[in-house]
Amino acid sequence: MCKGSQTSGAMNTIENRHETIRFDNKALVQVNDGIKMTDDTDNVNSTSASSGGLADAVELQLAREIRGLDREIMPQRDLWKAIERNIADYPQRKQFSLQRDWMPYGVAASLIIAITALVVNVVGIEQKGSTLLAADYAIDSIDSGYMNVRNPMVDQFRETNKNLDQATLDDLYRNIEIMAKARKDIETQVRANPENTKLVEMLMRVHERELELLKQDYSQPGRSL
Amino acid sequence: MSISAVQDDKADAQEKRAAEQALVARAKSNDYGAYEQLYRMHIGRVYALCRRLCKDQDMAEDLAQEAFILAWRKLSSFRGDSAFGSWLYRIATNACLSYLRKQKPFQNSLDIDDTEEESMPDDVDGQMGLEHAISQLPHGARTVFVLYSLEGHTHDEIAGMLNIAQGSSKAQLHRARQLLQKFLS
Repeated sequence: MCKGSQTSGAMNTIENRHETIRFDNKALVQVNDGIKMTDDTDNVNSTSASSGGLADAVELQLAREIRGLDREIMPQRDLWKAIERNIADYPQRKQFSLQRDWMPYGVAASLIIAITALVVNVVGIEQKGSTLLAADYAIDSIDSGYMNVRNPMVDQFRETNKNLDQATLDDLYRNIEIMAKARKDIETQVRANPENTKLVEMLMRVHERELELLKQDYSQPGRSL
Repeated sequence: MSISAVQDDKADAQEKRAAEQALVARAKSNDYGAYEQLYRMHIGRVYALCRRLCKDQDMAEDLAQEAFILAWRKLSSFRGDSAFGSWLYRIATNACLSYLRKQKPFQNSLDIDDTEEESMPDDVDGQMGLEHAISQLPHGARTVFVLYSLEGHTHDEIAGMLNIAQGSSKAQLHRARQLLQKFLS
């Protein structure tokens, strides 16, 4: 029997305890500077060992012993060297995250450059009297800038979503293919109707939408098409 | 404990949590030194958990090592919703349980119908004695006892971890207590 324990029916107090120690049907919880033993609602089993003052005292003794156990035990050998060797083969993928952080700004910048190039070149070449050539040149300029952004995003998309099941991936790629086809169709229309500015705007919106699709991480919970 | 002492403790805990979060952020940027600091902060508790769950010293060291390696690999998915330590201990617990599940005696001892009581050592005395007594518990009873009484998991959580009914978890705990009380009486 431990010194300092007081048994009094439903409540038992041991001084100078600072944490909860739980048992089969009791819990020792801190109350002010002491501890009381209360019914533990997490456990409804009653046991013969817990009934009666002596049994409670034994439980309290066990609680005291448990509380006296070391929270920490140090291993005999230092494990860090082996851990360090192992984790060196698995660097954190921070660069990947950084790439994702600046990617939206890169997309925005590329689109601005592409639009500027479109305006400048269309105006410049139209002055030479070749509207059709101006449209072709402008679309090529947009495409060039667009592909510079799109291609790394496709790689990133594959990497980010590689753990998705095949059916979901198929759906995603089907949507991206639909967007790509729409883009091609509009490009054809723009080449055929170079003076139609609405078509150019539509082309830009399709570009943006396609990039948005590629930019999303569908592997995260709650993300879907 | 006075109110000011409680406030001091709270402030200390917040400070430690902030320092730990900073280390985690640095580790996420491939700062191995920061991760080593996290290792030094938590290896004692992680190893104690592994040692008590799996009993074998060499295996406990291997499992503690594995827990830190797994935690590193999963670090990018750690969002800081809980303390790093809690997250790490869960990984260590899972590593130990995964190992234990492969041991036939462990699987057998989870069956509460297997009520064969193992004799407790006679030479146990004081703190080291209880530690030794815990190590002598049957696998199932020891696992539930460690998870419930030392690690603070609920029976519901333990039942999920061990794929047993809550009642079995309670029965295993009762069995562990009875065996340990033999040592105390």
